[in-house]
Parts: sequence; structure tokens; C-alpha cells
Amino acid sequence: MFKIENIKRDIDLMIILLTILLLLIMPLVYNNYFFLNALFLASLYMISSTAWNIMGGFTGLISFGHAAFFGIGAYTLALSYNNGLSPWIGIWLGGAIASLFALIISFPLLRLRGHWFALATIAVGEALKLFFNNWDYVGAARGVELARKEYSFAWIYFIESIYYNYVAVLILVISIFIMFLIIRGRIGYYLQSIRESEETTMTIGLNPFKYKMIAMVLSGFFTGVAGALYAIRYRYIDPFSVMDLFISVQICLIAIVGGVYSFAGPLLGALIVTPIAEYTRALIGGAYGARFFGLHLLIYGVILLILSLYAPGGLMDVLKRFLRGRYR
Amino acid sequence: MVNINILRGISRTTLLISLIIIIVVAAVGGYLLAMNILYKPTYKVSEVKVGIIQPLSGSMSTIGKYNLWGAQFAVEEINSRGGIKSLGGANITLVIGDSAGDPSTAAREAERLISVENVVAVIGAYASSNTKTVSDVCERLATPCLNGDSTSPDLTRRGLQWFFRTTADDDLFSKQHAEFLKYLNTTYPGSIKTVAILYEDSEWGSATAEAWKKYMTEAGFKIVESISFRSGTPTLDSEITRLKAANPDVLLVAGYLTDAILIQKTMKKLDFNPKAVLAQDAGYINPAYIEEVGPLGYYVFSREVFNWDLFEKVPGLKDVNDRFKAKYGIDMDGSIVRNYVAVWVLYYALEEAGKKASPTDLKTFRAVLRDSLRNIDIGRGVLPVPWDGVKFDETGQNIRAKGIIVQMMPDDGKYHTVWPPEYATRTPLFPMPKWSERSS
Repeated sequence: MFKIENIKRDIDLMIILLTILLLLIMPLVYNNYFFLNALFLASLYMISSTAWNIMGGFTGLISFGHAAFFGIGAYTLALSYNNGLSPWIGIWLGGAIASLFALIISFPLLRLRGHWFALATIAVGEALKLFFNNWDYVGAARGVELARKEYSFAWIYFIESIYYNYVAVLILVISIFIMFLIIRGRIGYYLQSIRESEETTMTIGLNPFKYKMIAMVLSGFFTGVAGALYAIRYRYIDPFSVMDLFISVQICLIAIVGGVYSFAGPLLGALIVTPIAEYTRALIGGAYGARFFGLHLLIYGVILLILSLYAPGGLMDVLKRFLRGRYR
Repeated sequence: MVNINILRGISRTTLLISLIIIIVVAAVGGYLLAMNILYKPTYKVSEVKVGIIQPLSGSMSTIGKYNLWGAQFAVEEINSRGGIKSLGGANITLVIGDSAGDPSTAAREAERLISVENVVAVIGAYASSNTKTVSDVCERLATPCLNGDSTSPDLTRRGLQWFFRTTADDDLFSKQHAEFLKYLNTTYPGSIKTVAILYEDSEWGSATAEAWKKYMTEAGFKIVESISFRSGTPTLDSEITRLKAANPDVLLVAGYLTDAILIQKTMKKLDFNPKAVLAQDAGYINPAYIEEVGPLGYYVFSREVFNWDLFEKVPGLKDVNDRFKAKYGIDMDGSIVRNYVAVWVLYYALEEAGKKASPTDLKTFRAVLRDSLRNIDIGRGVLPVPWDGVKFDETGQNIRAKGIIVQMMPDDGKYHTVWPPEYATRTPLFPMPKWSERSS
């Protein structure tokens, strides 16, 4: 799979490698906190949107409730961190608890089909947010602030932002390659066949329910990991910042803009959409926002509209057509 | 010799006095000249950048916009009065960050303002959750963070070295409730001995109740009942019945809009007559509450940070508000005034810091500015707020900040300031009449 010729022919793998290269080099070239933040957010959404894509793109289970997994990951990290657990374990523990939650809700949810499934995921996400908002152990509406530790690699607490970026890249590389291997392996093909036709899949002796469950658990795991990264970076979470519907929408929006049927689509989406959102807010919202409140959101919306009109199959689709036309 | 001849006609005393006058005038004149013309500030820069973070988009955008206006208005005033004099008349430039009401966005904006825009300090960020992340970033990047508008007691309990809050927090407000009841007791001796607490059970209500229990007990009041309820509950009959049985002199209430309306209606329905009802703002000061309950809300006391009738009482406030209204078309409210004041407080600290360091050496200047804030000592009457002034304790809390107590008056259906006495426009009506004695 990793022979040079194969990589050249495999656009997905090429984009993965180029993206990682970009994330590694750019912080050294342009060490600007704002730019670093945009890259960090991009890496965060790369993980969560790729995870979403396992369900939304490859299995055909459209979810608008991924904020639930994201939030559980964030809360797990925050609480374990405050109880003295190393965040290097906490990040993966966040994924594990989120995937456990995914497993539990998969029993009722996977009995629903199509848009009913999508609606149910919204309900799960919002219900969990309200539950956390009233749960005293996790700080309820007051949220959780990460305890102040010494600045160190062990506690993932740095003065310089750039280190956070490299922590994110490390987690990203691990997550993306695990997901890549799974999707390119047997399970990936099963999932796609379920997406195309559940009945046909059953005729070849596969249990669609089982594989859809696997897709949900995997998706939940890596979304939880992304949530944990969020918590370690911003060091304060509350239900409305990590479990809001906005997070769910952002995760699937990035995947859709990037292209849902390709593995690398969400990577491309995150690389384009996140910096646009950040820069429109800072440059327009900050400088002119005092006079035209909300102008940056309007511009952001127009950019998304243009993307959806001219690249309905996602950026990946445009790229693939471009490359095929050129190097047939 | 000729000269002496001329002087011969003048007495020696006159000569001496004239000489002294000339010397004194020359010395004073010279000194003033030196101060005004020859005085060179140690450091001279053209502008000093200050960051401000407010929720300018999202659900809190209206409040964020008003808060920003308050700060911008203060900056304009400072600049038109000659800027920061110790830095050679440098203007303050506000660099704006939009938090969108989201804690992580607020953190990113704080990092941008500090490291990309190179501001000397950050002001913000309204919602307590946003202020938490902003102050955390400021701590990490060693930049002073000045907050004028968040009241969560948590904020100053985190051991931060770079965080300062000018407004009073919810804890201090609860303490002042006890002071107010003691004040009523001096006017009407022995009238208040027992209190009861009715609070909604979320974070805010519970924290308020905890603080009340502490400060009321300290002040010598007996807590005869303490009942929590779920905000938005459809009925409070059993709660009010229990309160009626406990028969407290004063009822302390923390509830949101619908709760406040329900409490007043249920009190009348069940004929529960404490001598006073004292509320912790929230639902009780919401315009929708005032409209809904009408006469049922008369005589109720509430804590406030600001009230319309303060314009008459607080020195300078009416003048500031008139100019603000001329420019922006709205009256200042509690949040706007507190942001306006935060900028002025920072200005006084900047004047001090400018004597010791230059903003061109950003790292040193931020540290010096932090020390200036720590040592700041502003007395009463300097700022247009009903406080005793500004002085920060070691946690960064302004210990001279205050809230006020307002009472809904039956003659015009408006809240009037009744405490502290120096800002009161009316005397408190106490005890409140029984429901059966009221006309409506």
C-alpha cells in the first residue's frame, strides 16, 4: 500500500501526506499566534470531520450530534486532568469514553433510518448538553476549568502556542492513519456496501447492524479525541462551548465542503474553511465589526454559498476532476 | 554711585520686599515654564494599544456592542483631554476582538491581541465563561487583564497574578444585602430578626444562597427556612406555604424571570406577608417582570449595579451620560458604565506606568502596568459610579466596588435607589403593607 508509485496514484494518501507536511512546516515559517491558532483549529476539525466522515460519508449515517462525542472527550480530559491523570492518557481516555457512549446510543439509534436517524442524533446531542448543564459533578453550567500545573510537556501546558500545534499534529497523525488503515481495509468496504444497499450487504452474509455500530464507535472515538485536544488547548469548557449544535454543524459542514466520499475530503475542508472563518472574524469582525456588527458572518456565509454552488461534490471532487483532466 | 542715588528715596524695607517678590515670581514662573515647556517625558510614544474583547456577534451581540461603545467613549474622552501625559500625550488605541460569546474564540482573540497586535493590556470579556479563558491566556502570556463586567466569584479565586476586576462580584453583593438589613434595623430597631431564603437550584442561585447563609449568620440574623426550587417550575404553592409557616421577617429571593413572576403571584394568593422581600436582581429587574406583575411587585427590594435615578446622585454621571446619549442615542446602563469606568481605571494605571517604562519595551511595560494596577488607589467621587473608589486586593478584586439596593415604589411603579444612603433618592418603605391592606 505504501509503495511510491501507489502513493502517486492515490490522491487521498497524497493529500494526507501533504497536509501533514504543511502542518509541520508552516508554524516554523510563520510563527504568528493567530495563524497558529487557525492551524490548530484546522487540525482539530481534521480529526473530528474525518471521524464524522466514517459515519456520514462511508456508511451513510448522517449525524448532527457529534458535539456529544466531542463534549464527552473534552469533559473526560478536563476531569481526569484535574484529578492528576496525565493528559497523554486523558486524550485517548476521552476517545474511549466517547466511543462507549456511541456504543450505548447505537442500539436505539441504529434502528432508525435516513433522516430519522439524523433527527435523533440532534436530539441526543442537545439532550446531553442539557444534562451536563445541570450535572453538578461536572460543574453544571459553570463548566470546568483545567487546574493550573507547571508549564511542561507532561501536562501539555505551554507558554508558546507553537508547541500546542505540534501536539495536535502528533495526535492527528496517529488518528488519521488508524482511520485510514481501517477505511482502506475490509471494514471500509463493508461500510460502503452498507451505504449503497443494506439488503445486498445482508445477502452476502454480513450483519449491517454490527458494522454500522463499529462505524459509530470509531467515529465517536476520534471525535472524542478531538474534543480532548480542544480542552487541553483552551483549558476551560462548559456545555455550551463543547456540546453545542454549532460544533456538530461545523464538524459536518467541513466534511461536506471538503467532500464526503473521499477519505481526505475533510482534511481539505478543514484546511480551507477553518482559516476562512478565523480570518474573516478577526480581520473584518475586529476591524470593521465595531461599525458593521456581524458583517464577517455574512461574508463567511457568502463564501460557503459560493463553495456549495461551484463545488457541490466538495473540494475533493473539484481536485480529482482537475487532476484527471490534466494527468490522464 | 548714580544708581545708589536713584535708590536713595526708597526705603530699605520696600527694596527687600520687592526683591523677595521678584525672586519668588521668577522661581515660580521658571518652574512652571520648565514644567510646561521644557518638561520632557522620559518616554514618548504616539499611541498605546489596548485590547478589548466583547461578544460582538452571536446571542449576546447587542450587549457586547453597547459595552464596546462605553469603552470607546472613554477612550475618546481620554484622547481629547491630551492622552497619556506621562508618555508625551500618547493616544490610546482600542484594538477590538469579537468573542462571539464563545470561551475558546475569546481565548483565540486574546492571543491575537496580545501577540499579534501587541496590546499592553486586555479589557473584557462580559460573560464570566469568556472572561475565564481570556484571563487564563493573559496569565500565560504575562499581560494585564482588566475586567469590568463579570460577576462570577470564581474569577478572582484562581490565584491569578495578572487579573483585575473593577466591579463587585456576586459574593460581595450578598454581603451588602446583610449590610442593608442591618441598616434597616438601625432605622426600625428590632424589626428584623429572622430571614428565609428561596432560591433556584442552578449554579447561580445555589452560590447566592450559600453566600447569604454565610453573611446573614455573620450579621446575626437567624435563618428560619431555606428552600430551593427548579427554575421554570409551574407552581410554588408548597414552597410558599412552608415559608409562610416559618414566618420570617425578610424573604431573600434568587430567581429568574418566570420564577420572579410566579413568586409574587403565589405570595399574594397564599397571603404570605414578610416585612420585606429582598431579591438578587436577575428576574426581578427584568423589564418583562415589571410589566407582568405591576402592583404585585410594589415594595420589593432588589440588588442592582446601576439605576436610572443615579444620574442625579453620582457626581459627574449625568454629564457623562448626556454626552454619551448625544453620541450613541441610548442611556448608559450598568454594563456600559462599568466598561467606561474600566478604561478610565486602566488610564490611571497607564499614567503611572508611563513614568517608569516605555511601551516600546512591551514585556517590561506590561509588568510595570500590572504593578501600577496593583498599587492603584482611586478615591470616591473620581469615577462616575456609586463605589468607594478602586483598590485591588491580592486576588485582583476591587474591594471598594459596591452594588446598590433599589425598591419598587408604589407611586410610579419604578425602581428607586434606597441604599446606600449617600446615593439614595428615596427612603426605603418598610415594612411592606400586608396583601389584605393593599388597594390593588
